[in-house]
Amino acid sequence: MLRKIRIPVQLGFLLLFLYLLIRTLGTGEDSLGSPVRIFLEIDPLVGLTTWLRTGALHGLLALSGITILLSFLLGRFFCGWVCPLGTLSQITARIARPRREERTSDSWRPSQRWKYLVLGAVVAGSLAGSLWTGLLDPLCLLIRSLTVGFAPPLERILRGGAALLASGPLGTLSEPAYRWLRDNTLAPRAPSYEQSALMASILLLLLALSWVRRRFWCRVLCPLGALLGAVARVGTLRLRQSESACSGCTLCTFHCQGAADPDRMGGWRPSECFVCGNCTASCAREGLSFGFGRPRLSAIFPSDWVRRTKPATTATIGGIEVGRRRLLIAIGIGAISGPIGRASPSRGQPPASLIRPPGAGTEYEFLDKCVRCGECMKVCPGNGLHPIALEAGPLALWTPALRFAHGYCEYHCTLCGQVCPTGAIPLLSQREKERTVVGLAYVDVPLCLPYAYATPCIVCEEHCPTSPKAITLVEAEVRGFDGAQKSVRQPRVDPHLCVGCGICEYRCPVEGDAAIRVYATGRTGEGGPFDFSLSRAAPRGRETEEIA
Amino acid sequence: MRLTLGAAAAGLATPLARMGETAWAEAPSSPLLAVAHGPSPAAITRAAIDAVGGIARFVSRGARVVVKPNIGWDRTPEQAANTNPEVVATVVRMCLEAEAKSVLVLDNTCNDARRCYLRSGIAEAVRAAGGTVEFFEENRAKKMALGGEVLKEWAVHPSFVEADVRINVPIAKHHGLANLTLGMKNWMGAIAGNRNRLHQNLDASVVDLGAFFRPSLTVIDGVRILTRGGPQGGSLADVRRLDTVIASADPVAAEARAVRLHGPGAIQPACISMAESRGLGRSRWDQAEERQIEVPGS
Repeated sequence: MLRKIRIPVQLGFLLLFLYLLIRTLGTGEDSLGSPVRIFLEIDPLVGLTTWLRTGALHGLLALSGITILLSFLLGRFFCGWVCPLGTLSQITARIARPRREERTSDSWRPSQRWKYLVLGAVVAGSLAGSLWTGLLDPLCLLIRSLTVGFAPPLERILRGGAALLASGPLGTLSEPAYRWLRDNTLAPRAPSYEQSALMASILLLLLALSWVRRRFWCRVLCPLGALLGAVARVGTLRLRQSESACSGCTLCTFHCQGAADPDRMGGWRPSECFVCGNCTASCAREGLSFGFGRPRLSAIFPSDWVRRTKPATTATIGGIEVGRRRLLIAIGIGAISGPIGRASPSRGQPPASLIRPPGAGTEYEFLDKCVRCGECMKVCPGNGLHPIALEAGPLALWTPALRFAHGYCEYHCTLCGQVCPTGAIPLLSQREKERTVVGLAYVDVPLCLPYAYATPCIVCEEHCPTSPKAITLVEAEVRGFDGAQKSVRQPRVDPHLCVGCGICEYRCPVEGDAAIRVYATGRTGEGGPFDFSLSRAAPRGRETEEIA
Repeated sequence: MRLTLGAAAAGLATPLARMGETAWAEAPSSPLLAVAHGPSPAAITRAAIDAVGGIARFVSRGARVVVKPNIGWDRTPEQAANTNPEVVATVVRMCLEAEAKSVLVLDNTCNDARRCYLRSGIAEAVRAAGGTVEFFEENRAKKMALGGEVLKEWAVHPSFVEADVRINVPIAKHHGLANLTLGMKNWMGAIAGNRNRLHQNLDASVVDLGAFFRPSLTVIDGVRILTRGGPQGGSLADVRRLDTVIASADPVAAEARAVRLHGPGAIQPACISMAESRGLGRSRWDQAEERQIEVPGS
C-alpha cells in the first residue's frame, strides 16, 4: 500500500524538481516569479551548515526545519519519497539489476557508516570556517551537475537534431515540437560552461555506483541522508515486525532500498530506512507494518558510545556505530579544513581575474554562504557565471565567478540574487544592481585595435551599458601603417562609472585575449590591494535615468 | 559527389535569384519617398507607407514577409535605442491587411534577447498585430556567399533569405562609429557570428549587407531619435522627439533623408555615397519626388 503511493509521489517530486530547474530561466521580465529554489530551501543540510557558518538562516531556509520535524516523525521519508538524486540512483539500480536476477542478501554493511563521518566532517567544517556543503549535498550536487554538465550537451543535441530534421521529410512534425521545447525550456543562446565534462562525470559516477550496490550514494555517502538518519534514529517511526508471521524468507531485506535490515527481529535500523514500503509490500504473510512509538531520545548518541553501560537496550537500534575514534578523526579533518583552506590564497585575496557575482561582498563573506548549487549559473542570461576550479584556493572550488570570455553580466538583470538560496549573492533591486561594482575594465593598449593598429573600432564603447557610458572615445592623431597621419578614436575607461559588467570584454573583436579586460578592482564591499572604492565614492557625473 | 555539389550550388543560387526578383522597383505614380509627421506613431507609419504606393505595392497576397526592426538593446521605447514598437506593429498589421501569408519579426540582439524583445515593447506589439516573433537562433544561420566587396561570405539567418519580402524598419539614431546609424547597418541583426569584426570596416560592410538583403521597403522610425550616446543610449537627455516616419522603396534615399532628421549639421555616413555609387539607390532627389504629410492628432 505504502509502496503504491510512494512510487507516483517520488516520480512527481522528480518531475517537479526537473520542472523547477528548467524554469530557472529568465523570461526577460525583471522578476523570475516562481519559487525555483524551493528544493534547496527545504534541505536541512543547507540550512544547518549555513546557519552554523553565518549564525543566520537566510530567506526561506527555515523551511528546512519542517523537513527535520517530519523526519523526526516519519524517518528518512525525504530520501525515499522526495530526493531527486535518490530517485535517480534508484532508477539506475533498477536498470542495473533487473528483478529477475537471482536473489541475494542485501543487508546492512559497515560501509554505511561512512556517511556519518562525511556529515561529521561537513558540520565540523562549517563551524571551523569551511563550508563544504555544496560539494556533497545531493540537491546542490544534482542541480550543479545537471546545469553545468548535462543541460549544455542535451541542448546542443536538441537544437542540432531539430535543425537536421527541419529540412528533411520529418520537418513538419519535428519543427512544431522543437519550437515548443525551445520556447518553453531553452534560453535564446545555448549556454556552455567551464568544467562541464567534470560535472557530468561526477554525477554519472555517483549514479554508476548503484551498479556496485543499490543506492550506494544514499546508503554510504550522502551527508544529508546521514543527517536525516540521525534524526530518524531518535524519532517516532517504527517497523512492527511480527515474529510469528516471519518465515525467514528475507524477501523484505532483498527489496529494502536502504539496507535497513527489516528481517532482523528487533534489529531494524531506522537511520537507514527510506520508508519506501518495499518490505511491507513484499512480505507474503503481512508480517511487517509501519507504526509510531515514543521518541528514542536516549539514542541521541551513537549506540557504541553507550554500549559500554547499557548494551542491551541500545543494540536493538543500530545503524550509527561509527566508532568514536573514526568520528573524531572525521570531525578533526573537517575542523582543520577551515584553517588550511583559509591559508591560501594568502590574506583571503583571490586573484584579481576572479570576478564574483554582483553584490557578493568580501571573498570570505561569499564563501561562508555559497553552497555551489549552480542556480545562479543556470539562470544567468548572459551565460557569464561559471564554476571555478582551484584558482582561488580549495574553499572556493566550484563557486561561481563571471567569465567574460564566455559571457557577461546583463546590466539591468538581478536574477542571480533572486535564485540564490543562501544570500551569498544578495537580492538586489534593479537600481542597486546597476550601482554594484564587480570589477573594473582595463584597456590593453598593445592589443586594442585603435591604439595598436590605428584601426577604427568602438565595440566596447557601443556596448557599455552605463549612462553616461563608462567607456568613452577620445580622438587621437596616429600614424597608420602607410605612414600617413590619421585620426582614430580610442576607448578610455572611467573608473568612476565602470561597474565591471564585462560586456566590453565579451564583445571585444580581438581574438584570444580581449583587448579590454575586467579585473576585480574596487568591487562593492571588498577592500584590499586593488581597492578603488575611495576614488569611486566620488560623485558621478550624472545619474542613470531609469524608466520603470 | 558531383550531385552533392550541384545540390549545394542550387541551394545557394535559389535564394539569391529570388532576392533579385524582389528588389525594389519604383512605381511611376508614387513619390520616391514620404515623410510623415504627427503625434501618433501608428498613424504616421501608415500615412508614409500609403504615400509611397501603399503596402500592396510591396506585399502581394500570400507573401512571406520578414520585418527587421532594431531590437538590439535592453532599453525601453522612451530611450530610443530600439525601433518604436507601434511603428513595427503598424508595418506588420499593414502586411497582414495585404493578405501576407506570414509576417515574421526577429533580430540578432546585443543584450539578452529576452530582455530586449520585452523591454522594447516590440514582441508584445507585434504579437498583438498578428505577426510572429522569434528569437534569432545562431545555430540556424547558414554560411552564404554575400558577394560583397569586403564580405565575401558570412553566416546569415535563413528567415531573411527565404522570405518573399524584406522590410527594413530601423530607428534613426546616433552611433559612435557610423556617426549615424540609419538603415543598412540594421542588417547586422540578420547575420550571425562575430559581427563585431565588421566595425573595422563598417561602412563597406554595411553597404555589402544592404546590397545583399535589398529590402522591398524601408521604413525609418524617427518618432524619437537618439542624438548622443548611441547606439544604446540610456539617458533621456539624449533623446529628441520628432514624431516622424520616413518610408521609401529606395533604401539609400530613405537613409539619406533620415540624416536630415539630425539637423542641418549632421554628417552623412560614408555608407550612403558608397551605396549610391554601387547602384543601390539615390541620395539626391527633386523636392517634387518627396511627399510631406502632416497627420494631426485626433
